[in-house]
Amino acid sequence: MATEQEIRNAERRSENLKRNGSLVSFSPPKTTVIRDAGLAGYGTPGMYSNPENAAASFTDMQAANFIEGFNGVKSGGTKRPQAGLGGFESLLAGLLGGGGGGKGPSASDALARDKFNYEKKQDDKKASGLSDYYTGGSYNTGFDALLKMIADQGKQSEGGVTKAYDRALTNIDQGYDAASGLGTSGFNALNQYLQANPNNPYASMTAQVGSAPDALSNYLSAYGVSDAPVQGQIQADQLQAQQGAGNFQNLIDVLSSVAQQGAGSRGAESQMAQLMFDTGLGQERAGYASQAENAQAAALAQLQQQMFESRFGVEQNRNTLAQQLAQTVAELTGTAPTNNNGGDDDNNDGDDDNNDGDDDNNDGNKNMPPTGPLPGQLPQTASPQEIVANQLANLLAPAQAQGASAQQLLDQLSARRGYTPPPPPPFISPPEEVSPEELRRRQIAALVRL
Amino acid sequence: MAYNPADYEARRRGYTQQYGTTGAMNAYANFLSQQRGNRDRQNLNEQYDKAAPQIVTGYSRRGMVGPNVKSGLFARGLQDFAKQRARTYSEFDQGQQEQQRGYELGEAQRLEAFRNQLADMESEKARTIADAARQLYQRRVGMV
Repeated sequence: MATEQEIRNAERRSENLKRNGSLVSFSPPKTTVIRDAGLAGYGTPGMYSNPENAAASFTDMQAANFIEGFNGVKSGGTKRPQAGLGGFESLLAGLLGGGGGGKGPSASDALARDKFNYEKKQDDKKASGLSDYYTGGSYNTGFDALLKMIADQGKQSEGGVTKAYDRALTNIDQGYDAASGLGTSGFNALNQYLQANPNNPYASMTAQVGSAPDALSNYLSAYGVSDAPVQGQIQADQLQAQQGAGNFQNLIDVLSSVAQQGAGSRGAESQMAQLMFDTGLGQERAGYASQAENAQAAALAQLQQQMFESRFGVEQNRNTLAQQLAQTVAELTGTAPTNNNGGDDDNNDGDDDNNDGDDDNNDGNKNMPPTGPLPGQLPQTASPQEIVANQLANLLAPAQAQGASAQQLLDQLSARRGYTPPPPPPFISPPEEVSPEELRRRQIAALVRL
Repeated sequence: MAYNPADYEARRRGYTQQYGTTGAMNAYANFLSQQRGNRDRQNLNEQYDKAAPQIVTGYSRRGMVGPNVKSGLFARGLQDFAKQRARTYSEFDQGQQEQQRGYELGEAQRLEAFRNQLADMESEKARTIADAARQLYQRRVGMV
């Protein structure tokens, strides 16, 4: 599509040529040679009845040569067959692909033709490039790279989360072992102390009875006095002493028993404290492990959410671009393109994203591409034959579009020069299905007859 | 509560010093008591050793003791003297023994209390170590 700047530059050059006197001023022709031009396909009934066929046969070069020949007619201001014949010669040369004879075009017309050809070629290139860019799926490259980047980063992040979880579990286990060992060593030291220091000082105590006093038996017998009453007294006192010792022994035994119970209670207290410590520590480890698992699950869920949002954004952008491309190509070519290469499995990670070991086409062959539409790819509803036909149509679309562009440019150029092209002839006969070769052959034959 | 072994060693030294000091004082008091008892018993021996001849002499002046003389009063008086002497010695020895039992019982109770203090301290130390281990565990896991 020519820009306004290019059009202004072309007009400026045309004005310069006029000032230099090298350009013949243009005036609308008194007569037309539409009939003659129609022999070249422009004014044929088939063209008006079937504009597409006419556009297909009326190429850009033909249109340019038509303008060149037409200028030969109008330059004299009257009907001049020889000048018109020069136009036909140019037109014939255009049809045959060779140069035409006769009087050459003016500088202004040549400039207009060059400008027209250049702009049309640019439009053709743009349309063809956009069509190839869309139908070939080249626009998917960046999106696929982004998806691959997201997938790789997701795997890396997932691995990081897993490593962090394993590291947390390792720390939990190692911390548990260290704490358990430390606490156990403390209680073992207590148990060893209690066993080595039994707190029962009464165990070794015994209540002893003192020795009986002397009864002065020898002294009494020396005077012939019996010591029996004295022995009885001594035995009574000894019995009383033994009773006192027995009471004291009972007291010692009671105290010893109490001390033993205290020692046993202390040992049980130590065992209970150690059991509570081990149980509490185990519960804490279970709690920490559960927290780590929950944290891992939350991190993985957040990661999946982020990956989904990222992929959703990429797919959304891909879909938007695909729609814009399809719309642009359709506007330029007049035909809706078909996208046969909509990217891969949307993340380039080599798997099918559902871990079912299948490639999602249910054909048992992992090397075959999936048949269903993938994210970012337009729904594929055409058969393979239709796809080939659409591709051929896309290839021919720029050529088909040339007819409309040429006609529009001709109308614009004529309007600027004050020339109104005559209306097309009325419908003569229904369109005839002829091949381009047959049409060209008929055109040449008509020219030879003239 | 952070575990500090120095605190428990200081407490242990305090308990032991107190127990040892009190035990030494009690042992010395017990020693003095035994010494005093021994002296008292020696005095009793001297007194009864001096009294026995005097009793025979008294009955002899009254003609109740002599060659070919056997008085019932002398025999009974001499037996009463021997019985009184035996009763005195028995009461003295029993008193001394009860005093010694009291000392030993007191020392045993004091030893029991001392060992209870140490055992309580050991139990507290074990619980402190366990708490410290759990706190260290929490810190370690919390730093993950």
